[in-house]
Amino acid sequence: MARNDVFVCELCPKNCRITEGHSGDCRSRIVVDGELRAVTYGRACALHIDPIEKKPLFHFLPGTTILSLAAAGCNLHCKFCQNWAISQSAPEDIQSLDLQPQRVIEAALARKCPSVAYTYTEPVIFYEYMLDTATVAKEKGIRNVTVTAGYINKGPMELLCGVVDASNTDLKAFNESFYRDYCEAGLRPVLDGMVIMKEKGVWLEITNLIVPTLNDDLDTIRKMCRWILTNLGSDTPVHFSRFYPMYKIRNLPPTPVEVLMRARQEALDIGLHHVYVGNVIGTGAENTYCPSDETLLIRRVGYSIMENNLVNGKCPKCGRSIAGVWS
Amino acid sequence: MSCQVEQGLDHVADLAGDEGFSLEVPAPLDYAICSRLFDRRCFLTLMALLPLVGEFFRPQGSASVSLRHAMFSRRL
Repeated sequence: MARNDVFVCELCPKNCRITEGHSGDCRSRIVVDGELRAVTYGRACALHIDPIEKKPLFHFLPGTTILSLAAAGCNLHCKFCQNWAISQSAPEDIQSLDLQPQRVIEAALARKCPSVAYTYTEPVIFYEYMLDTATVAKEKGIRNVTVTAGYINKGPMELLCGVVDASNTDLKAFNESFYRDYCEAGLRPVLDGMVIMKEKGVWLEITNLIVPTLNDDLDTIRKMCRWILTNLGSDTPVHFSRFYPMYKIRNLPPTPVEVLMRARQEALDIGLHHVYVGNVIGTGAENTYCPSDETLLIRRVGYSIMENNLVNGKCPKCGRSIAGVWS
Repeated sequence: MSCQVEQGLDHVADLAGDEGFSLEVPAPLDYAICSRLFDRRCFLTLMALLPLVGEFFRPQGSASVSLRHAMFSRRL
């Protein structure tokens, strides 16, 4: 096998061309000895137990804990990344732990976590590790959750949907220029990926981090909400999340709460049923209400469930089924 | 903050279990540690010329490094 072979990594839309001894843009897929290899396979750089509300997933097993796993690297380079220390590092530059898929699931079972999240960094770029771990999880009756930017090609996404139960996909903005200038990625594949997830029956929630002056334009937010309504349905939960100065964007203030609340109201007016405000406590916009009669269904404070009035996934007053995976 | 990683890596060992695990700097390539010191191409050249030096620099952890083949790749 020739040492000057060129490989195309077709995992994500960057389709990096990689030669011997070099890595793709994500830094975790490297040509070694004439083969493209996933060098973070089985190398956990973070493993924690979180409340599932932290992902955030509000309509998927509420009140449960989730074992959360990450390996180093990312195929996006968001200037506001909150986990940049592990997502923007090369695998060889940070410590990690040899933790094979079987051991991850053993840890989840031992800690009585009903689900595992592939999160913190970008799970797409530790795809093989995620896929194998998710397969073992499924065999043991544990659910799988991705917390992802969703920047992945169609084939890998379709295969992944066979083992993933739920996803929180980060929709960074609703224009290509934001993706290009602030994330070094693109919007279209993210939208296509979410449609695939919906078609394949993966429970999907969307997070949109609103960064002051960069993606807080209300017209664009309205367009995004209309697209979600048309392509993913009115029951798709949307989380408008508050930005805090981070990584390379430290010159902007935290998102004003009124901007988040206005975005939420616009989304509700457009017809989305479940719209939340994240990274802010005490607005009431963390609660789940019945879309029919506005009965309070789940009251949250931060990541804690204070009250859950759902009865078998239905509103206790009008009996309407509330979209989600409740048990 | 939503899905922000908060705890240090020691916590990983604790969660994963138990004894038998040790934290280590991963070496996805044999020359991973050395690549901090040299440009990779420069280092590969050095490797070709001075295999004994290469052996000297080889990190201990490299044997346990996964070299799992990447899916969705194509040779041009």
